Amino acid sequence: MVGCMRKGYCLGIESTADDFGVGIASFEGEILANVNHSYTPEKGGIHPREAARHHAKVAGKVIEEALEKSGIKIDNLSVIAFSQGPGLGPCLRTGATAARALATYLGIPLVGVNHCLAHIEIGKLVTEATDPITLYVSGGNTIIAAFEAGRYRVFGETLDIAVGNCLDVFAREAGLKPENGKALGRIVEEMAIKGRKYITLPYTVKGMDLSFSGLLTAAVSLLHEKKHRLEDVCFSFQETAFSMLTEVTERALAHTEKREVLLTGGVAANKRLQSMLKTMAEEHDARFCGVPREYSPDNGAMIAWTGILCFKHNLTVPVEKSFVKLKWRLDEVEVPWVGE
Amino acid sequence: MTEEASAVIHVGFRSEKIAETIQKALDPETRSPATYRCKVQVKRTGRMLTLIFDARDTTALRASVNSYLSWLRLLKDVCERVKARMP
Repeated sequence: MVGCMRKGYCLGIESTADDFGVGIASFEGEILANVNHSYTPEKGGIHPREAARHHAKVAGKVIEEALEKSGIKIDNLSVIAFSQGPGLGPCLRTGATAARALATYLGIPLVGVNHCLAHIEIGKLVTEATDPITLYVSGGNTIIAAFEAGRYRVFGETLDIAVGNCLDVFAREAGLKPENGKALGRIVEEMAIKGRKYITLPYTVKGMDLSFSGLLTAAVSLLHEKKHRLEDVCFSFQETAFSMLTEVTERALAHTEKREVLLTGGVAANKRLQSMLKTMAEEHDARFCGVPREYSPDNGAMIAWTGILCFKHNLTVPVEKSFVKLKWRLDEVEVPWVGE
Repeated sequence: MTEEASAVIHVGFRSEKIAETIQKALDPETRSPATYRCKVQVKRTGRMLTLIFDARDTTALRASVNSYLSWLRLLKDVCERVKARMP
């Protein structure tokens, strides 16, 4: 380990999808800044090139704001980290070019961080979890993972679309729109609270993996039939999707015999999902560790903190070899700091 | 039948250091492009960068030129902000 004895700070850039985030963390694990700017499409889902254009436009301003909030001088930065993958190509490339420029101009090392790993590591930092089973749920990923035999292993994952994407598409089909800064998932959650009647929907768990496309098609068909209240469809949709997630997480927990359940990703903000996982964890005498809203969606702080962990273990990348990795899986990543 | 298209863009920067930084930041993208329909080279002479685009068709050329122009704007902005904060 090289960096562990040095005092220093890492600036991390997150740009895998619709968010451009910059975080600054100290080597001791203090988050000094976490600034985020989101691309919101006028209609439909994320258009990768439009999102990348948004990131390029706001990058300088967001970096500046993060430096301002952190209160540190730019020459105090010891390392630059960026989300190297997995993610949308144009978005990843935009964040990567900004990170390379910072590292080159300042003459400091560059670290490429796996986005999924960063969600787990920031979750561990802020909840003080040590060795959890993780349910990572977002617009692009649905993964049940835990550390086993030298690296994070994926015990279960979606076979088609991510649960967050499933929720967003359902919400758009239902005619719901983001309002007052609330994400579509939050609006579905609020509707679901008012639901009373459960309507049976496809529940697809295949071994340890999940499938959400059939659920989405069936829920959208229900909307078009117009035989049920929207609140009841939202309620049934959420209950089905979250029960599937809880079942697979429970089986992974029973198999690994971990003592902690970490919930992270953009969908982690959903209180119903939190409640289901908490109940399940307590039945197994495990501690439920919900990542706070500030750090559960995509953010720069998670990249900065994971960048520090990588840097301390010499996992830096030369600028000329810092290619983005669009399909970089969590179980391909070295994590020498876990289990030390 | 494919129609070939090409473009050359010259951009000047305030300092040699900024031009060099931007060239290095773009270099991995030129060597690992999103599409092989357009090949891009970034050359530097002092404070001047020259971007050379060779595409299979005008659609690929337009997409690539737009991406690089967007990155150039981003990188110039980032470098100038960093320079202003240096002691």
